[in-house]
Amino acid sequence: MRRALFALLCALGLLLNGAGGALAQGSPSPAGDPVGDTDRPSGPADPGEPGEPSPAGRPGSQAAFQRAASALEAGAFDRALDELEALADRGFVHPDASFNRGVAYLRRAESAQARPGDYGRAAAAMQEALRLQPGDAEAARTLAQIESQIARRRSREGRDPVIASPKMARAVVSLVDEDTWAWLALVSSLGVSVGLGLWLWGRAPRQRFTGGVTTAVAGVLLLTLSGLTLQARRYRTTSTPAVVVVVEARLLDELGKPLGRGPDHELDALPEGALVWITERGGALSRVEWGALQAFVRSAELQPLAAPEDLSEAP
Amino acid sequence: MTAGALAQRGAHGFLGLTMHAVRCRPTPQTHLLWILAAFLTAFAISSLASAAPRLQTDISRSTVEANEAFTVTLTIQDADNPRQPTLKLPPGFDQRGPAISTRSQISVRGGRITQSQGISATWTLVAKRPGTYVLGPASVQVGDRRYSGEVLRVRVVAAGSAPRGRSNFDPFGVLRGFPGFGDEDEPLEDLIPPPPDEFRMDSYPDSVAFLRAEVKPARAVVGEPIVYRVFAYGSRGPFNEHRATEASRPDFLAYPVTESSFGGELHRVQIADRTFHAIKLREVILVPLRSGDLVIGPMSAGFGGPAYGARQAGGGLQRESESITVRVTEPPADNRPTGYTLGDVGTFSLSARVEPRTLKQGESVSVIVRLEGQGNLPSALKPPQRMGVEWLEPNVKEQIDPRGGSLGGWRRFSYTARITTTGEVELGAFTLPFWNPTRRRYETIEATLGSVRVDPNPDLVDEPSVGEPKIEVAPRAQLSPMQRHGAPLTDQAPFWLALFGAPLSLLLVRLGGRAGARLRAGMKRRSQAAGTLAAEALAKAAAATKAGAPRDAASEYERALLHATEGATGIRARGVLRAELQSTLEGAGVEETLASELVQLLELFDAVRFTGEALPEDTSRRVRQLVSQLEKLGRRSGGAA
Repeated sequence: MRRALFALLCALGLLLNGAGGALAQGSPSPAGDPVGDTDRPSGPADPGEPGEPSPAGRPGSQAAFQRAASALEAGAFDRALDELEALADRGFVHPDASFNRGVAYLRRAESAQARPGDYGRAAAAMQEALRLQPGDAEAARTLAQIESQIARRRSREGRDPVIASPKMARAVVSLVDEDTWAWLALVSSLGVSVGLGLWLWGRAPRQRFTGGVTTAVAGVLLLTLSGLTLQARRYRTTSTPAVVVVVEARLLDELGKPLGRGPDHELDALPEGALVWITERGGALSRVEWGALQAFVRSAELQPLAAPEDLSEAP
Repeated sequence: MTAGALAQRGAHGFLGLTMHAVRCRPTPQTHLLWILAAFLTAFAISSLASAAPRLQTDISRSTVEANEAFTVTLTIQDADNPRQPTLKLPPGFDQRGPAISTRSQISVRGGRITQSQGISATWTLVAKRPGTYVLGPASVQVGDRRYSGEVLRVRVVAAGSAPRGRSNFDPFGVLRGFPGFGDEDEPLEDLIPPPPDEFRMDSYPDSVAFLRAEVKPARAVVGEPIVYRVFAYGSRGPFNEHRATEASRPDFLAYPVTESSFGGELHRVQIADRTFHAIKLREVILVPLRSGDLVIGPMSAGFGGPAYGARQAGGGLQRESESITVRVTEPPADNRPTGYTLGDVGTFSLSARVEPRTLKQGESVSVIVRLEGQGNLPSALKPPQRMGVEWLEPNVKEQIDPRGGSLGGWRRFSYTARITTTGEVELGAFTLPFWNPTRRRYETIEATLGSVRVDPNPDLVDEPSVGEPKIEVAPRAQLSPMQRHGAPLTDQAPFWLALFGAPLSLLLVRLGGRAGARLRAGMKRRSQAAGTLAAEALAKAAAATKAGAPRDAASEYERALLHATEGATGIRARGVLRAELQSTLEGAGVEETLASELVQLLELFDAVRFTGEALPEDTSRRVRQLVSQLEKLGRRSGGAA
């Protein structure tokens, strides 16, 4: 029993040490520049400067949003897009602005002025709205319809259907958000503490038995949930979600040469609207992860999504 | 009719006509007679003229530098065996030659083919001192007569001050010596224009030859045209460009103004203490495509010309310009108008024409929008969107040229807009926001299209929808209140402390408590053990004393004291030199008197063990008292360390 206790102590010590290291310097990506928080698509403006008001707090953001909404109602989707893109360029991040941007791209995609990639940009905007406000059912439904539309168009154009096999680790970690994993880990830590208290200071044998069992179960949970929390944090700090905004994003190698289909790559291009993870940026090319697939694509063919941390407070 | 008869008849006719001309007014026959007479006269004169030899004297340059070689050539034609060419020279000239070459000329004169012979005699001369000199005449002996050519004048200037030039039409100098192509009588200084300011420099990086590149302005915004120029400088006289490699400029759109230096003006530029010949190799209008520190690579070019080693294998001097970094930024985000497209930089005007103004539903109007101005003209415009107005992609015509160090011209966008609604339809306006680099502010221009009257069209049939089903989704009219998310839990150190700190602290408290208790028990055990051993030794000592065995008694007393000392202080006194024992004990907290008494007793026991004498009577009391005091000391200090 004492040996088991000692082993648990050592494991906790190692975990604490690892977490502290990760906290201090972040988890580096295996190669190249990691895509960290500083790479968030918060626009070229200077909203993040310390001491300055948030973009939403600046006069004009609300008015610009309403002008865009009015233009959308009137069918002037290009004017609405100008307003909404300018808002985004100024660093204004809000799920409703993302949603309306998606609607504007969708309107244009359905019009005679449709441009290639409009459905992809609409999907990117809806993905962003969902990322900023995960419970937005309307955005989720619209996103599903846009993805269906893209699939129908691909089918009509005779393109191969594309099925992404999700990566197991990312699929598990993505079941809940990072903070949820963190809270679950905290609850298991509380369980371990209570169990240890009973086990070590309990007077009656039943109390000590209960404490031992609780400590063992909660300890396993603590180790598992801490690992998932750390992994979620690593994904957040080393990769950025993005959506393909061209009809097809050709897969490339690190030198920019097109990759052909082969045993490692069943695809030679990513479809419009695909949600990918940017793991490395190197000038014109970005390394992306899509399911189990890893390759480079042109950075201009991707629309990175804003993170909830970038959210602007509504005025 | 035979040939002889024809000849006879012709001769008779000729004589008859001549007589007729003398006596009568002119007739066609008279004209023919005069022409024949003139021909015969010219033939006679020509025959006379051909009897005299023709001479020509040439000089390679009319202005030369002192100690610079030049040539004088005497050419004589139509002379029979010319010989002994000579040239009279003033003092101060060195002469080499003449080099004589024969010349043969075939000509047709008076319907006859004639061949004339002649010679060329060339003297190479070098003048020693500056001044203006008369050369010649050169002369040659033909038969028994001597013929002389013209007198020549040459101006000799100080070394290094003679003008050198290159004809605009002879960049390679292959026509040098021919009229109009340099190195002849006209003063060459006048051919070289004074250098424009763009050629001037304060110092030279290379005393022989170098290239200089410049860009103006050095800072620009995305889309703002800048001028890139490359100049070549050579101090060894005129040169020409060859084997040039263009500068790389992947981040710019390029509009060439000067694509080659051929035909360019050569200038003489004084830089510090040297005179250079300079020419502009390139001038290009560049439009930056992105922001950042954009690099224009080096341009390399060769200097062609004998003075630059161009006759050697591999050509002449090769030089490279410096790379230039242009700082390109985006126009300011503040006050950026809605709809501004990055790269729209310049000063523009916009006009539009709509035809027809009356139409039926489903028909189209033609909208022609003309954009003109200076700068990077936008390649696309955004048509105004209205319900019931469908814009098709425009046809674009343009004429854009470099103008005055920038770009300028026009683009014409021809749109077709189909109107699907009825009534008075307002078409809206084309608007174009752009950045004016001169005023350093955004401006917006507009071309209003006005309205068109659209009559209902009963023949119009709704087109069936063939596209994808429309997705019904309404935009949101208001921003819902949102709270900015704090940093994720895992970015906060207290989270990790709470996660692992609570269980760890419990474990540490429990383990620490147990370790402390164990330590205290051990100390207690050790203290109790020392007291017991001391008591046993005292009992054995008393028995030995009673049995009359002082050596054994001394040994047991000594063992009792050593156990008591170890129990109280942790010091194993047997391992300490007797001379150092007192100080060691005092260092462990034992009082001086106690330590002294202990050392005295131990020395007493040592002596008794050696001599076998009886112990003093109060020995037992002293030892017991000392052991008791040591045990008290041990209890006070919490036991041995």
